Amino acid sequence: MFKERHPLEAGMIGSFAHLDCLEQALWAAKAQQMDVRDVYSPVPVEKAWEILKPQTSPVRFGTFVGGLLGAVGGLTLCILTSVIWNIVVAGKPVTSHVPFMVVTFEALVLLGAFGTLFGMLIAARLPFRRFPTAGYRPEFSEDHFGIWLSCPKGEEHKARQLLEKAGAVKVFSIDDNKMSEAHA
Amino acid sequence: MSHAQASKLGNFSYGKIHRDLLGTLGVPSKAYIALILFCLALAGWGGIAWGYLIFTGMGVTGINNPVAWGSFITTFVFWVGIGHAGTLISAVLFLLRVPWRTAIFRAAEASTIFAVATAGIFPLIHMGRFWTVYYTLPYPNGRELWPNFRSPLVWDVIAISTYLTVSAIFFYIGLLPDIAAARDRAKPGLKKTVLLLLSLGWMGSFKQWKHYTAAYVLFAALATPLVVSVHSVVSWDFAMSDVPGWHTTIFAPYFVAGAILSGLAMVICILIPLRHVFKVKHIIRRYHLEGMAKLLVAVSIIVGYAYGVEFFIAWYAGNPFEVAIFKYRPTGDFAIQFWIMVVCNVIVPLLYLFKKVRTNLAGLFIVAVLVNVGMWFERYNIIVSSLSHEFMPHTWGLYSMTWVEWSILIGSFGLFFFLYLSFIKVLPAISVAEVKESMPHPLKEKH
Repeated sequence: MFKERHPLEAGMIGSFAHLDCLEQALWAAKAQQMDVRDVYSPVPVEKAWEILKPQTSPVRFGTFVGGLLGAVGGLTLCILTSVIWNIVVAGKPVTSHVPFMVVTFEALVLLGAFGTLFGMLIAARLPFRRFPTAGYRPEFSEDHFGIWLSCPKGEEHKARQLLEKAGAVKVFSIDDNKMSEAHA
Repeated sequence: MSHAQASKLGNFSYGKIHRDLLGTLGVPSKAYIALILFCLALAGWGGIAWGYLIFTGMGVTGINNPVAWGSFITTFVFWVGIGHAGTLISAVLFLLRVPWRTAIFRAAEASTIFAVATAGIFPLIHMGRFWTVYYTLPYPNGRELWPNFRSPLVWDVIAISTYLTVSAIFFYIGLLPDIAAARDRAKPGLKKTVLLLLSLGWMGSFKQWKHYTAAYVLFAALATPLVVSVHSVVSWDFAMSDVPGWHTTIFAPYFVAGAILSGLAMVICILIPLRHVFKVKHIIRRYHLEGMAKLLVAVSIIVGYAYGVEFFIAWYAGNPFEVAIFKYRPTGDFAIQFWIMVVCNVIVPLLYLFKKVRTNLAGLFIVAVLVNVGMWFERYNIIVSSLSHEFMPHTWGLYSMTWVEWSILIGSFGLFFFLYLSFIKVLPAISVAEVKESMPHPLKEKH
């Protein structure tokens, strides 16, 4: 979906009050092979995922790696400390695996949570240093849905027409300076 | 009946919900300022009492030999228990797709964070010389205090720290879209800059939502076993010892059920005034409170069952020390506390079986307050009665709280509510994004 950008590219934002209009615009953009740069919404819109088909979220790998490191690290910590600073009680083994499971489990959950957090931040590119992007409008966190279309210069009217036809309540064009910032 | 119909949110627009919920962050009223100052004063009084304890010594408390764990450990366990409902509501009920969770989970999560933070102070108070806390940390040192990962006290520190950290991360991630919404609404200035930093540049792009929803499910899945594990580990502080009345395998599920009971009661106590003060009765409806009341009465029945099973096990196992302690609790020196516990935690919540009570705000509130009182006495009863009546009659002793302990207990409530009241004016106490998500989407073509 994120094609290589043309240096002479224009951007057009459509702001929608209704979700079905947004869906219609996305289908139309897909049919006309327009480049949907981004979609903004105050709530998750599963339909947008269906139409634009972004990659499956890799966050779960962060959870898995974090959880695995936590479990191995927690158990290793318990075993090594009990071997090095051992407390010998009668004939009992120095390493007691059952009680160590508590620490192992807690470390698994703790590092699993950190893995999920970092996985999400990296995948969602947060913190986003260049906030706001050229296409973002504050109303998109309130009650409007936005589509950012990019098209070659001179074809802005096609994008505008598409957005208006789908029912956009407002259509903005992104000025050249902001577009070049967006490329940076 | 769908959730939107049941909660009657279908009548409102995204914009209305957005304005109403973010409007709660406006200029505080005089009543709010008076209340927060009152809470701060209570916390301050608790702080003065703690200062007096530090300078004078542990002798100013009622803690003695044999009752070496008194009100401080009681209150510690109480606050950890209060912290249970937040993660239960935000994680477990999220995974179970319980519809009445949406409007209330943020308020419950906040209570978790502040309750566990309040609880964390009590082991330090109980230590007396709290500046030597590093002696207890499990690291090798020259004082021959070796790390011992077999100790339930070490498990407890690890479990509660993990719970607080994971709950705080889960809480923050859930807040991200709402912080962004508050940022977009704020006027330029310090507040906007702080919100800008906290929002991490969240824009609600479809890719961000994709990763966010994936992460949220994973956080819920990670936090769910924590709900069970934390209070199980707290219960093992007691159950791993051989003290009569503590050394029993039922303690883990018994403590977990008790924690959920007290946590739910506290959330009900918070939500009833909150919806009134913030004028969000159309969002937090009686339907939501009734859902919590039904869950509370179910958990209360489990707790009542656990109380009964404890007596049964003591009799059935035939251990004379267990039999003695379970005869002592309802009839001995701490019988009043025992019966307060039974009445408040088992009998009073049964009133929620009547629809008239659980749909009446005064009824809901009074029962929830009594459950909290009962849950504090439950911990008091477990800790104090067992320690005061161990194996050998010549070691038996009594315990009563002094003004210092009462002051610190009251101060802890002041601290909790001060933190809570501060939070609800800084960030939305009701999730804006999730309430919108639970509503019917705005469609041009009405189906």
